Amino acid sequence: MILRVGGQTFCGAVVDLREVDVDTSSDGASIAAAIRGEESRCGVHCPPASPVHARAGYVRPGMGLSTRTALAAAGRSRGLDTPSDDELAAVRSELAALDGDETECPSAPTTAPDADRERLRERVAELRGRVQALESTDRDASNARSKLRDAARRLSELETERVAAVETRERSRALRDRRERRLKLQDRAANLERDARAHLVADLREEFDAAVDSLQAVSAGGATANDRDHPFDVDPVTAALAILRIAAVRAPVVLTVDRFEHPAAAARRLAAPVVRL
Amino acid sequence: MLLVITYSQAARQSLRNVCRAHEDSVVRRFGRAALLESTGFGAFQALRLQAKHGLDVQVERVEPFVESDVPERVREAATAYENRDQSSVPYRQFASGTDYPSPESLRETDV
Repeated sequence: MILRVGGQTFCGAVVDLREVDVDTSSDGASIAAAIRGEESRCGVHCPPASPVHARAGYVRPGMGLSTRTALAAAGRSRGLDTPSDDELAAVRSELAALDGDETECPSAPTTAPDADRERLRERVAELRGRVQALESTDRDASNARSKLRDAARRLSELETERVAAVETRERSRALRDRRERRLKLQDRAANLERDARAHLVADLREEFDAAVDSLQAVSAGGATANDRDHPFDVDPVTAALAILRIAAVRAPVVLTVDRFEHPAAAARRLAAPVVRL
Repeated sequence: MLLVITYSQAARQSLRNVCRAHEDSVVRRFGRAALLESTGFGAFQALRLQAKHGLDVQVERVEPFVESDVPERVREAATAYENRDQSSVPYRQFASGTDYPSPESLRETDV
């Protein structure tokens, strides 16, 4: 990797910044972000990060970790498959196709109630009758005619609005049909992802246990698998390191914890490039 | 009553939150839909959801179903068909040659 931080540049598979003037936590986060390809004030040139990096790529005291999700990501990084994969791929591709043709949201026009239109229709008929009555008796109908014109125009506006409202309703229904399909697919994808995760975790459970044991042997005095009530009942730092050991990662991992005798040993045991702060 | 139907995960979550916070105004809850009381408060909640999620929230007015509003021949046909002797007979067959309305005539009957 080539790492640029605080105006200095470092090269190699193992970069030890412990003697360099950097801020352990803020620069650690920046370097980890740069490795993941995110916006960062540090620059890193390295192989692309795997999804494992988003979970366990920055190992620091007090970190949180979704152990199962991270372990599943580690399994994926090694190319493990699950029985859910084919359907998941199909569901995702259908989702992608649905997301593609999202059209504009029709806003529902507010329409006058039917009763208003009915009243106006009666009013128009009444005015029309009055105009005819006045004209047939040769009286001045201009006032009534102007009222009739106004009422007729308003009625035609209401009719137009109603037609528009019906069209909007139909268009909304079509759009919602698609959204309903999308929601179903999203739910299905979430279920399949959960199944896949459970499958990967079950596959890697023993390996994870062994990795935790070997790491705790290094840091010494830790509980062994036999002492733990639950295999995932380990501190996040140990779990993250165990997951990195299991994962096949080519991009560097960032460590600010003191679990290995020196950074090169960390890189060897995790089988990954290491930045140590 | 007001029927609120959601069409996205975010809208569904908002609806759940509304239902949880205002149980008094909720008549019935179904996964991603709910029936709210037809009150200003129910409408307020429905409109809030629509303002937040747009087309992902559909609001419809729902009226109580009054059986006596349905034409008598439709009601009679329903009762007779449910009391039929042979459960495997489809309605079309059951109705043919009787005074009971055909499926087509039922479809064309506006209630």
